[in-house]
Amino acid sequence: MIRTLRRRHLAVWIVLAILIPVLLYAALRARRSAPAGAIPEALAPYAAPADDVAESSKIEGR
Amino acid sequence: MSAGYAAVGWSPGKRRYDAALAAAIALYLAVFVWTSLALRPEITVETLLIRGFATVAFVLLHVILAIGPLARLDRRFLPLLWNRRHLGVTMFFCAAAHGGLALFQFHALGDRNPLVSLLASNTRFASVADFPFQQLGAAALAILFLMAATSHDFWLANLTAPVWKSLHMMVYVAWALLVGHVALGILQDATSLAGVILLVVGGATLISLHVAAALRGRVLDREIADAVAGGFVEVCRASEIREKRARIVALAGERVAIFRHDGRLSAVSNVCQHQNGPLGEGRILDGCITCPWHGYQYRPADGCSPPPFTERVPTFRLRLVDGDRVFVDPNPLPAGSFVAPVEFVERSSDKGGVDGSSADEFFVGYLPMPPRLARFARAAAVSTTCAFGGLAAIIASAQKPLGQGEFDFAHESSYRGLLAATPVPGLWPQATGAEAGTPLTGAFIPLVGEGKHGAPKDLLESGSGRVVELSGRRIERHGQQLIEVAAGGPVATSGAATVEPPPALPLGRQRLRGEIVDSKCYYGVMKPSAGKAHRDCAVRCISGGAPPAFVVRSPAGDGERIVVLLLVGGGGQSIAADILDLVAEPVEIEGEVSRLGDRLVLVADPAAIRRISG
Repeated sequence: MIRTLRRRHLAVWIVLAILIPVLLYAALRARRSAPAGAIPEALAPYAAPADDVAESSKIEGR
Repeated sequence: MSAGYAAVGWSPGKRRYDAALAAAIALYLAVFVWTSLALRPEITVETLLIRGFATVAFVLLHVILAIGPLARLDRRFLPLLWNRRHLGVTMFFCAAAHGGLALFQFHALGDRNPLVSLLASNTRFASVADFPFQQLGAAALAILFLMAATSHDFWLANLTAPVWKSLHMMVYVAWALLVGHVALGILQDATSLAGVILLVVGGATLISLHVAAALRGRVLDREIADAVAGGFVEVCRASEIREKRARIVALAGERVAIFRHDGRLSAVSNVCQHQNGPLGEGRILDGCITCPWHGYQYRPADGCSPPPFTERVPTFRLRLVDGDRVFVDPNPLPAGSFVAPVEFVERSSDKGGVDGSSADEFFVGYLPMPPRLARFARAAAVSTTCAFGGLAAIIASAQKPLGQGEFDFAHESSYRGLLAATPVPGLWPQATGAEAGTPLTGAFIPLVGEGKHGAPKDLLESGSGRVVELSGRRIERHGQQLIEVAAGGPVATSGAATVEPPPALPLGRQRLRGEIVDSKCYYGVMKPSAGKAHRDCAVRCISGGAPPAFVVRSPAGDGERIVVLLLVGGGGQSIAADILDLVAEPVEIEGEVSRLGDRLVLVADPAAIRRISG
């Protein structure tokens, strides 16, 4: 039994060593930022400054 | 090692181990909370707890999975293995706290059983970008529960070692599921690369350690197997074996431990009956072979544990040729078979000189820890605790901004105005005074119910088109309010309104790109209130009646600005049932936009809503 367990243990980690990088690559490749698009002129007066972005990406003074 | 079962076999060492564990977790949570509040003061308590418990559990799981191979590669880590069960159970409780809080936060108080909601709110298994990551976490938690519940020698004995060991090897599956849970969940919402880097480093470390430990064992097997030639097999020189220690050899695929004790040699299986620990890496204590993992003991001559214990391991026959060459019969005798030890006449140069000396320290959890090992264990505990604090700071600082919405949960206010049922349930508040004819302010405040529900139906049925006074809690973002109507709160109806709300102002047909959210969470009840991490909650809220909203964001770099539109179907009908599968994804909607008071309303045909790639 112990030999089987040892082999299974190594096999599991080799499979994980292959699958985990593939999973991470696929997950990161599919990552997307919040959808953005031009705000039409008619709606521009009703736009508010984004309050969920890092300070560095905000317009100064807002 | 004890003859009976107790919930926990406490010892001073276990108490110190648990104290160090508690200190590390407390430090992690404290640093995580402090850093989060310092950098993201808008974060809510529930989000803090969900993220704090999730990340500490994940870090603990990595530590747990690293201890096994570390102990095989370096014996000084064996003291960490001794009480690993407490580490595992503690990790499960942290994970369960995360799971329970997340289940309540994202799925409870809605129109479905939370467990049904967990499994059914997102079924986009074919999409990597929208994969239902919460199910992965739930599956991992179920495995961890089974492991924690059976993490006791009672279950080891009653399930039998093969079943128990197989069950506990499922921890590798749990870890893989959790990597998927993180990678397909919060990492896809994150803007910082810190989480990605930590996940890669953690995974690479674990995989490297386990593969290295396994390969080291395989090398040992292969080297000795070459010498197998049928009958008794020559395996080593007796003089090579240190006193009270063993030489491990592989015969017919199984490892045999040949112990030297008081001028005699005995051979037993290398596999401890408790948890498959390597007996050959143990030593003779009080005349018994003592397993280095958990201190289980066996007599060298017959492989039996001393009374009252009942464990037994197979033994092997030995021969000594030329006074030093050791031969072993590769066929194991039944567990517990007596084999007379082979006498070995020691020459002066063969003396191991290791009996109890500090140069050969050996750790058994129920005995005082040798000084050098104790120093190493203390250094490891301090280093690990400091690492926990550092990791907490890094992980907490990687959180992205959560929005500045406010939810005045603790304070109910009285609101008076004209109640409208369309296009979404809302209130046109009156400027001042209590008369039915008091002018309206021109603002429009959507109403929602408690939990993940829309405005109370009985309120809308009895009060629509009338001036009402109701009790509710303020939700506010971007200078716009929502009201969570207090269940059972006082509602006064003043009769038919004598004031009219301002007419809708058409702003034309627009094609917009953005994300569908639920207005209640977006305006301040939840943080985060959008994106993949919040998707299931948004589905539940919209399904329960909270008005859906469409968030349009201008491109980054140009000073991001946001327009929020209430989303309704043609004729002012609710669109909720048709858009649940599109929530929290990038979509394009074309429809008629109008201004209603201080709000924008987008009237759209659900069939015309189109998914777009990020």
